[in-house]
Amino acid sequence: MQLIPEYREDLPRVERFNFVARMTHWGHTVTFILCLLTGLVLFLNSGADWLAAIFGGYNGAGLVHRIAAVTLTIFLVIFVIFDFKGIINWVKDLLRFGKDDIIFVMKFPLEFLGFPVKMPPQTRFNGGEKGNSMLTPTCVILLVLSGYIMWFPTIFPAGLVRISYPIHDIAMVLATFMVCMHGYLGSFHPGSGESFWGMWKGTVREDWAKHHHAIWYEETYADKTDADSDAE
Amino acid sequence: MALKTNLYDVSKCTACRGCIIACKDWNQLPAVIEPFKGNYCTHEDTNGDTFTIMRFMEYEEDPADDVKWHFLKYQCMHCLDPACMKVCPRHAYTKTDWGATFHDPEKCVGCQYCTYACPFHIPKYRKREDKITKCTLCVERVEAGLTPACTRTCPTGALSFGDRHELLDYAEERVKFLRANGFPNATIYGKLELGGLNKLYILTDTPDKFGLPIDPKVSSTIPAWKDWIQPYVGWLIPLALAGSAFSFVTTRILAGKHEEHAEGGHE
Amino acid sequence: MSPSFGRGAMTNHVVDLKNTDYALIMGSNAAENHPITMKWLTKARLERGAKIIHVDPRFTRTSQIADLYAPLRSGTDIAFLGGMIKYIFDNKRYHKEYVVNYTDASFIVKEGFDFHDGLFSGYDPAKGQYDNSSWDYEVDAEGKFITDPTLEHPRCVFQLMKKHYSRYDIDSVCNITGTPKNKYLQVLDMFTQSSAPNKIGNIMYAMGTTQHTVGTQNVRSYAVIQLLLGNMGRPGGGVNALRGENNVQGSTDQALLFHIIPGYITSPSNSPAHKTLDAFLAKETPKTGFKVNQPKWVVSLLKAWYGDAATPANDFAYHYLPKRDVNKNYSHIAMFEAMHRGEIDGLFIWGGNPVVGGPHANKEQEAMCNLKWLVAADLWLTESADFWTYQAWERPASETKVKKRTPADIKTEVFFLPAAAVYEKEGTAANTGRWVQYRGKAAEPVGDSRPDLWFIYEIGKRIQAAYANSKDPKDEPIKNMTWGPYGSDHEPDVVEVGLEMNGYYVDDPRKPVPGFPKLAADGSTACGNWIYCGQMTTKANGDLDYKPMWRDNKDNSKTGLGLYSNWAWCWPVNRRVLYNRCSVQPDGVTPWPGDEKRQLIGWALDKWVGDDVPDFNTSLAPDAPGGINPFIMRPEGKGCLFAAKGSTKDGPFPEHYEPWESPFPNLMSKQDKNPAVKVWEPDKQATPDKYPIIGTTYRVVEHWQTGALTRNLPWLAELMPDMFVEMSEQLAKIKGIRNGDKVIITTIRGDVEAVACVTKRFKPFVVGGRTVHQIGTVWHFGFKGYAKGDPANRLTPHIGDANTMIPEYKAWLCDVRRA
Repeated sequence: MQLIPEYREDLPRVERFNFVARMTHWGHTVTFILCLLTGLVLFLNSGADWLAAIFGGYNGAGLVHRIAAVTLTIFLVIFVIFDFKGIINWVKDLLRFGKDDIIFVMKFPLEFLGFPVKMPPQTRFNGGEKGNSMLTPTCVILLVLSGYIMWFPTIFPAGLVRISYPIHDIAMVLATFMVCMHGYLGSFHPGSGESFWGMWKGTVREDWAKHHHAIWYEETYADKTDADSDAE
Repeated sequence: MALKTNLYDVSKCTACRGCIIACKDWNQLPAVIEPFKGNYCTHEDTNGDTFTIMRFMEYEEDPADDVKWHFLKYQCMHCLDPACMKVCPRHAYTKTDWGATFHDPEKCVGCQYCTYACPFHIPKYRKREDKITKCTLCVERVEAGLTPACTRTCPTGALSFGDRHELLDYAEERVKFLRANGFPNATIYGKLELGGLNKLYILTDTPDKFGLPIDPKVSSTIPAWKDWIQPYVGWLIPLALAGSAFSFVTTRILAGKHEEHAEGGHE
Repeated sequence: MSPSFGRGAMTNHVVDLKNTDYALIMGSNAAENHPITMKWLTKARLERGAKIIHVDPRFTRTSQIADLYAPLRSGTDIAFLGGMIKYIFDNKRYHKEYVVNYTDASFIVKEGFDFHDGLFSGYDPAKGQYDNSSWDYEVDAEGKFITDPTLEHPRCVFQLMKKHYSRYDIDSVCNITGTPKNKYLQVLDMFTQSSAPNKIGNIMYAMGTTQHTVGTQNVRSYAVIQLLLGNMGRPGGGVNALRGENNVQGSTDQALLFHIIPGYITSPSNSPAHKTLDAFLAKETPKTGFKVNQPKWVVSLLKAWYGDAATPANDFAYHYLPKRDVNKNYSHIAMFEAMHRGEIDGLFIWGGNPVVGGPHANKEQEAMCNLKWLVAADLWLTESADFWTYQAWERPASETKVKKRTPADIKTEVFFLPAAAVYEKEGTAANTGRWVQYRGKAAEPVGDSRPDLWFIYEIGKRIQAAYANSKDPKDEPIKNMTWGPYGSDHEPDVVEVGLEMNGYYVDDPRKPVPGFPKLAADGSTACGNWIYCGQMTTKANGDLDYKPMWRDNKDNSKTGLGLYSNWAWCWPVNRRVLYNRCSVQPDGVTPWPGDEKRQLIGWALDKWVGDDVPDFNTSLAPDAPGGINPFIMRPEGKGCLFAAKGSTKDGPFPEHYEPWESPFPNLMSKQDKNPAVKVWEPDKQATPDKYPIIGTTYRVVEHWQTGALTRNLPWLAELMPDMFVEMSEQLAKIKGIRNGDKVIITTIRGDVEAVACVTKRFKPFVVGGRTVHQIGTVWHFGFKGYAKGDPANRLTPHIGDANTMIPEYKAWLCDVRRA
């Protein structure tokens, strides 16, 4: 049984994510998971001593959590600085949320389980990805903000510090939920697994792109390939 | 075991601050010397090396009458239902069977959740050790049959230590007496507040005059967080994992049946 | 107090405060400086419903605890109390029977005594002194005092006093003191209720009373009031001097003063009347009262000091005693004035710190530069030991009043003796209530530090060794001085010192004299301090039993008066309440009506008995001559409303004078200042046009005296880290000062910097229709230790009380501005 769709160099591929986007994505992946594991240590109310033990106990976990959190913040900053255009495009794409996206989301559970579904054409990010793109960064930003407030409570109003605790937890749970789903769909799910290569190598199979992100493909590559063929 | 507690009678306190020194001595807390800022109380609040402070508050109702200079010993109230204990992710807080809220520095990771959960903002962070500290009600002294260091040193008897019931009875009598003798607003603090504090105060005026919250409350975010968010919302994570696993299986089973649904990644 | 009662000590004791009905705390911030008194006062309030009254320029921690607070302007105590005396007369609030029997109210004063416009009869303006021969009682042919028990005679003390205080009406008083009239009336009414036979009030005072040019007379006012109200010699009553230091009582008992030798005996001078021992004793021993025994005490003292060299043939070596110049003053201020003139070569400072604690500290610091050598003994290097450093001469930027010095300018050689702390040595201290309490050693001294006793003993030994071969007769006092050994020669034993103090039989030096009545004038007893006679006894096995070590924590009083007679020992002969003959009616049997529980002693057919040791001749029947003379140390045998000749230098009745530096003329008479004080620095008297604000100094509970001990302790430094000045919100507004600002306080003598503590607890006073502001600074600070600050005494004047020379720290003129 295949876990991830095979990387097919023999088929035509189109670029999906640039280097900065990919680097920060994976940077965030690592730091987020580190933060998650070390944070769970306290979230589980010390119910998982073995988890803390991995990081050298609770104080070690705390240290790793802080280092990872700072690194995560740095990736966030790098992303904002070096791929500002990408962010703008991303946001623009999110703003195109419309009827097709809603239909996608409604039909998605079937797709998720593997039933054949006819989906409406999607832009660069499909309805589900749009949801993820809105929720996960929001949660991460909340995590970062509330995290620093909790780290340096003395310079913030006490009420803000107090509200940061549940916010950090809620944001963590939602982000983790999304990350799990995203991680699964973006790799092991047979339908969308190809997008893994989009984030790993930067390119996806052209046919996959046409099928899954028809509008994006049309807008980005269709004219270009036409032009190319014209030139030929 | 019956609750044992401190009773602090402000009507007898002369603010000599012997209690602070006794506390620092017993707990071997270093001095935190800060400049004098115009109030006898040089501590703005308790800190990691100062478990108890004495507040000095000037209060003037009628300029023709005497000014009032309220003194208040301020430290951990050892709430019977302590918020610090509730929020501590390390279970560093325990309640002794006689009512002290004990904090175990061995377990503490310095997250300071307790500081901000506490309605009195008492647990304080000690940077050099990355730990929280606070008044222990001299657990080790009391369990050895002694009274807390502050009580032991108090020259005027403003501080006493004993059975909470008995002290409450005494406090009721005392407040009655004070009310009849020039302190109409005299009151007990700690009897009912927050469901009872294991530190009792006899105040000669309303608690706000002493800088104490009249009706202290644990912020509602604390129960929301600890009683609802942590226990229930967290299940979303296993849910996501389970769903993914389920999908992992079903997609692959269904894939065999719908060969025609040729998608990227499938042969 | 000596002129009023015969002894200058706290009459009652600290535990006794719990027996009071009314406590008037004046010139004292007892909660701050004597916290333990509050333990017993709060108990009195709880158990007896006692009322606490506090009178002070500023609302303090004591005021907060008090039931009633009244402000007064610094230095106007006598006006305040004079008004109370008038109130007592006007409203018949005196305890008539007590006044008639136990005071000199009925005594007739000689013709010729007069008082006119602020001056008593006999004033010599040229000398600035009184000839007090006209301040005396009339006596009959046998030398007995003529009395008028009806108190009607126009020249009886009662009538003279009534006349004297007739000027102190409430409006005049409040106009001087700045006290709100309603508060004043409340104080008068409340405290004078203690004149009821079943009510007893006490007065507690401290340095706020004594540190004035009229300090002695302030205390006299208390004495007068307490005698009129019948509060002396009774539990819960008395005039209670709260000592500023835990062993100040001990230091005066042992005569660390120039005018007395141990046991409050006048020190011999070079006057012809002191030429020989007999002449001295004839001059200084009164004809009546208990002090007729003085020759026994003096001879025993000489025997203790000079041992075998003191024989009847050589006047018991009386000629060995150094004689002071009768025209010279050797008090603290005078000594530093002389040092400033370059007349003194060397100085020992033992636990003292004049650079911080001395009045006009700038001058005293300058004076020390003239020394050839200085020996300082303390736990830490004090400001005084380090007076020659750069730090010592740093002043606020604006300071121009003192010539700046550098270590190179100062030639003084400084020796420092590292003293052991109180817990590192054993010894006794006499507390404010005269209890001599032994303290053991809890820890070894740090490093090479030693107990003070060791230093003194070694110095004495080495001086003796240095003179051992001298043939010069003038060195005989040193050679023949008895100097131990006290126990082992290596480490003096405090019990042995206690034995010498107690007294022993010359033919059996291990046998303690059981009490001062057994001292003899024939040289058969030796006693280092007669008032401490009786502190040593022998156990059944023959060992010495040092009573200050007694620790019986049981109240021996049947009525719960808290005497604790077997806890430590107090002088004289363990009497816990002085003049306790007054606690019972003149007949010696009947308690004061409604006050059965507070009777201390009573006449039981042939002798006085009771829970306390009778302060009385135990075999003198109440109806015998002198049987109702409770004040045995006074020649009169009575409590003195009138200070007859010789007992004070500035008047038989307390009279209000303004402080030396005051923004106001005396509104009571033309005589502005106490006419009998010695003015040392006429050029350093500030005028109110330049220095309009009244200043005073005081202490806080967190620090002790000059802070040498406490400012070096981090925990205490934490509680009071900086020098500060308290001022009213009104003054702060005028001067543009905010709470916490750095400010400069300036006087004609010096400037200091301090942090402003703007407070509602200080209020401006309205005096003579004008508003005047007062500020207060703490005087604990110096340039060493964890808590540093400018010494407040750089501001205070070099002038003292007419009798005791205690400096006027408490009222002076200054100005204040933002730094």
